[in-house]
Amino acid sequence: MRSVLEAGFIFWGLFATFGLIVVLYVIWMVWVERRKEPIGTSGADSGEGGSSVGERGEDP
Amino acid sequence: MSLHLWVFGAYFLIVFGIGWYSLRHTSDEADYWIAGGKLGWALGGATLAATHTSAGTFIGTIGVMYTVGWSFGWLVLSIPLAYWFTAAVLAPRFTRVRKLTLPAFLEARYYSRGIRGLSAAIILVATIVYIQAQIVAGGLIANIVFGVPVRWGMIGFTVILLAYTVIGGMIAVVYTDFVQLVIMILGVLLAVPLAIRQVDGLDNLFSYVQAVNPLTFTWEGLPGTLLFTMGLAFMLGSVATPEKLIRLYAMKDMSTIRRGVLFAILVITGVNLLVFVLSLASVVLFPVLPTGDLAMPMIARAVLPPTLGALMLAAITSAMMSTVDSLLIVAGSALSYDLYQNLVHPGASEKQKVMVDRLGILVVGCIPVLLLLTGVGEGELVQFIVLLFTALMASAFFMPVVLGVYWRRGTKEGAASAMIGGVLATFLWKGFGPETIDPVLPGFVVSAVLMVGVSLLSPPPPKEALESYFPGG
Repeated sequence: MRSVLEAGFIFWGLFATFGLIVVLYVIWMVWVERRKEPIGTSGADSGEGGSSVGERGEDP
Repeated sequence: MSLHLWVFGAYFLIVFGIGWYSLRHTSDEADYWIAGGKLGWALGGATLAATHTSAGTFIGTIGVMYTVGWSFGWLVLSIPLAYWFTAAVLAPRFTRVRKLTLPAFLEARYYSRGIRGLSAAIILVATIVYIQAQIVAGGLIANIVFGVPVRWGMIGFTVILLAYTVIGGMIAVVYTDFVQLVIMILGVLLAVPLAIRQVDGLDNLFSYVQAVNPLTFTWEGLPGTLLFTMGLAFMLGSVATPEKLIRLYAMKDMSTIRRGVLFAILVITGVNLLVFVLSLASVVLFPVLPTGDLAMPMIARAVLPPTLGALMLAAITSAMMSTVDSLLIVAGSALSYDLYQNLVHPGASEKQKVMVDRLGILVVGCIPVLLLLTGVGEGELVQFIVLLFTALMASAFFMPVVLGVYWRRGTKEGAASAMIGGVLATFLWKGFGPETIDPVLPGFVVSAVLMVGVSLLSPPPPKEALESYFPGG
């Protein structure tokens, strides 16, 4: 019985854990994007490849 | 055979067409190396996912699972965790200044052209080994599909890859990655139900697998320490490999990066889980194979109907090509942009630069296949080569990159010693250390100790080196 339960957990637990991680990621993403933050301009750029990708004030 | 030829012929024509289209849209080095930095979340996430999903997934992972069982599958969870770390922690600071390559970032942060040259050299050598593993897998597929000798298959795949990557650069790679990802998803989505039906349903599949290999659904297939440290290698490597970091520069802003990463997480992990189920079917259908790496090609050839089998083989080919083209971009940029233009000929015109960039990709694309033809690098299971590459990249670059944007006190001496020490420790452990611990652990620990220790012992970085990444501080 124990081995059947363990086998079930090893197989289905992987799918369930992945689902949980995706849900947590979406919650985090929505939380980050709902925070009211100033969108700033970039820092100094060496001019090598263009502009900043990041948004000021968004660092964790 | 003729069906395979049609499917592969159509596939290659699409890929070449994209290469030709990209040639007309590449005007400068920013276009050539980071697709102009204008990618949206769908293309950005797709190229991230396609680059991550390699022959390691379709040939190597299934090969290891065939041998050691389902516990190996739990390693896949390190991927979403690593990508969350990238999107939430690293990207907001790493992308403050858009560069074209990882070595160019390291040069800017550590105010040293030497650091750029050193990191480019590490990337170049490690990438060539990784490309070799993928080309071996491509040769195996060509052998199965067309019946040509493996060596001719390796040459053919390399020629096709170089044709569109050299002319189209990153733009060609991004669009072909998208097409290749669609083929991969279609291939596994259609193959899994058929493979399960072939073994009389999911319940019977579990029973058969337990009968053939009782260790499949236990934690005993791999030692726990090895499982944990391999997961660490996947996680650190998913963050710190240059072909992934550079895609952060290719996406247009942080919101795009967050969405693109979510898309990549869903696709990478989803495809991996479906491939794992196929590996279970292969344990039942082909209980005695000389190497686990043959499991997926055997499913495509012997289990699936001819049309779907051809699509599955095209999916495997897509996985390999979408990774190798990205690695060609990374290795080619290391050779031409970071080494040649940086150290040898800095004053070239824009036209000369793009010409040298193309030449760089051509050169690094020829080296792996030439090494393989002379017998160097054959014989290892694909997945273990993938893991070694991942361990090397993680050991060399994780600390200099992450601490580079979070620790003002990090110095060029610290970063250089972390890179060299991390690579040496990884190699030494791989050669002489116990196999129950993946080399990433000692490599990462040595890299971290050297990064912190040597930085504290060396003079602090000048203010101008920190302005871009620590504004106002």
